[in-house]
Amino acid sequence: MITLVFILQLLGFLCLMLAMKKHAKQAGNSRVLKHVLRVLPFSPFTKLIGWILQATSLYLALTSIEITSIAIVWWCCTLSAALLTIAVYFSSLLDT
Amino acid sequence: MNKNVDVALRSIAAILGGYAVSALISFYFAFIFFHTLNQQEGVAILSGSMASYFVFFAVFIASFAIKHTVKWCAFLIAFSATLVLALPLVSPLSNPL
Amino acid sequence: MKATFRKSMIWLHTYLGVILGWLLFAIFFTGTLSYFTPEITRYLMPERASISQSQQSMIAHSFSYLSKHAGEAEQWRIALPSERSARWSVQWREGKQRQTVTFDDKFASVENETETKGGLFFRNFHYTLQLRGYGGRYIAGIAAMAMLLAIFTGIYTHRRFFKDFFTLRPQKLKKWTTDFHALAGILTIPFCIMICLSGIFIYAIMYLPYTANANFERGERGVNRQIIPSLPSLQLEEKVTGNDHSVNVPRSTPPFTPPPVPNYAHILEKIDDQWREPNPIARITVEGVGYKNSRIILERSKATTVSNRADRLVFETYTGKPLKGYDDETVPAQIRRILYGLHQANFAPIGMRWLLFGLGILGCALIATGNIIWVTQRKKSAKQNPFTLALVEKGNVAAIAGLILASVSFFIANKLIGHDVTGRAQLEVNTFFTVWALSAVHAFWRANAAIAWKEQFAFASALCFFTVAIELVLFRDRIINSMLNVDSVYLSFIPAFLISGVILYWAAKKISLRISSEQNVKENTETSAFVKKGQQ
Repeated sequence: MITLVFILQLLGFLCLMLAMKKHAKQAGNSRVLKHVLRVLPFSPFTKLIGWILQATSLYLALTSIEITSIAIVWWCCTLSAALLTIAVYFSSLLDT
Repeated sequence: MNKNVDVALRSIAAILGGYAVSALISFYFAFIFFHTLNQQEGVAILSGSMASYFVFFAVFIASFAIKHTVKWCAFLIAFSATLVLALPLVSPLSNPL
Repeated sequence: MKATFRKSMIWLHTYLGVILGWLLFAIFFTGTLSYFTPEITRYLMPERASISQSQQSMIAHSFSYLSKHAGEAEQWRIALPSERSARWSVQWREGKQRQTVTFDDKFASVENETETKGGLFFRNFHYTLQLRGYGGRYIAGIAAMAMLLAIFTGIYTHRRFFKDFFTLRPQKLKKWTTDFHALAGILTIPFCIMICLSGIFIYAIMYLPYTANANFERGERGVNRQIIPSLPSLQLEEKVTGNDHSVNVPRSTPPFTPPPVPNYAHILEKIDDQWREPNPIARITVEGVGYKNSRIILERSKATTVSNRADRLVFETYTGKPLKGYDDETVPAQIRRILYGLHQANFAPIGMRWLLFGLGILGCALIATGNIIWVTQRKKSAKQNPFTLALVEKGNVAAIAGLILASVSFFIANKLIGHDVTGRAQLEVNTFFTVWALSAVHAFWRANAAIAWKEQFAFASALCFFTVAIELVLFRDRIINSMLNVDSVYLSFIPAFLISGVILYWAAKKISLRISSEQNVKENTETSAFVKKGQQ
């Protein structure tokens, strides 16, 4: 379950990143993301999808773990891990 | 004013002034918590102490953010003096509100 | 102070960081290691292996042992093992002396345990700084508040919060360090705020004791007496005789009849209803052994609560009748307990524990890169006092690489010092500080700080691999037994040290590449200047 929360957060951050012009340009360097970019709707929609994915991940964490406070700690930990993954991945796509 | 003197004054205001103000304010917080929220003495003291750290933080940041160092130091001294003078009003917690 | 609020905050961030960075790194690093305190203790004590018995059988054995050997004691304590600690022990007090006996998986008592501080060395260091008395706690409190201020001011240092920080520029080192510092900072904001705030609140009253001293005779102790719920004191009058309890114990000949065994079967049944998780009991205390109104207190494991205080149930020892137990704590006290619990993370299952450890390491890297950035930026500035620059530059090596070296040496010392050497616990600690001091000497002796960094990181990497080698050579039996019993806690240390060794080696390599590229640049400029001169 936690893995699913992590994946949802990853996808959420991906959408939020791709919605920003500056980072969408870098995404063009990746074969996979080039196709993803073609499919995605225009900017505000992608942002919305990103936020919805994050909210879904929070909902999933809260409902699948019995104790609320432990669920929140899990969610925050996987959030940092997802953010780090996305940041490192996008940095590897840099032009230089 | 000489830059080093300015920094020194701000640092003293931040560290000593901040600590003094938060120590004094903890008495007032404890008094307020004791009487308004109806907590026991020990609980009011704990809540008061925890709340005072935010005051320390604010005074510290302010000491480096304000524009006129001397005015700020004077304010802190005056404020602390007021808190000290009014201390007997709040010091034994059992004082009436 | 400066032209704008933001510039003042940047100034404050710089100075807080450079003055307290070394202390903060030490506290953060040892604190991060403390996430694995019982695991490290277990790793450093070869006789500790995983215990797979059920809690019921362990409790039964403990009580029969205590009845036989501790009949005269007033209080019995049983500490049941957790997945992490594998420590099962009973304890009682005879007069002034406290006796402890540890058991292993086969119900035998363990003789002659390894004398070591284990993981507790790192944990205690991170809030006492190895100082006597309470001095260390005050310093750690100052560091925690300084870190909070550094986080707050640090947020101002970085503009365009969300649009800029996702990129790490790998090619240029100076930019890379700054980018990493920013990224690590953002990632760890909630974590560091939680850690620092909870760190301060653990000793909230101790740091500001004035209201407590004004209102209570015994100051903070008086406050704690009032706000920490306790059980009514026991009046011990009547002793239990053979007929008074539900469990039949064969009578032995007078004059000494050992106290009857507590009615734990009945109690465990009751607990099964309320505490549903597997292995719910962490500790059992029996007060007033042998008396009619003796009571038994069972403490739940911390896996189901974030708070520092787990549930406790109280029963009459020999009849199994449930008693009223502890009052609930007040809300402010509970808030403090929850923060305390978040700080210690005793509730964390293994996956979360590794994530928290990772965040802790990121925090350490944050502090370390901060200090390194200060040095690299100041090198370019003409106004910098060369003495302080050299001091901070070389001090960074001692504070950061030196601490890592010292920590690995602690493990190696434990592995190499013989089991029966007297005072071996202190010898391990001495090794830690000696290596740290030697690292400082090396850092200041080396003219070029970058070379010092490289050498110390390379040595640390070698020590990590050496630790694994020692393990494989000297502790083969333990490894084989652990593989048979699937003792994953112990076995995970080997890949952990291997990975640490690889990371440290990679760091040393990067630094040596940078040194050689800098030298090339220098030589090229000298050569070109020489050639130009020749052409003139």
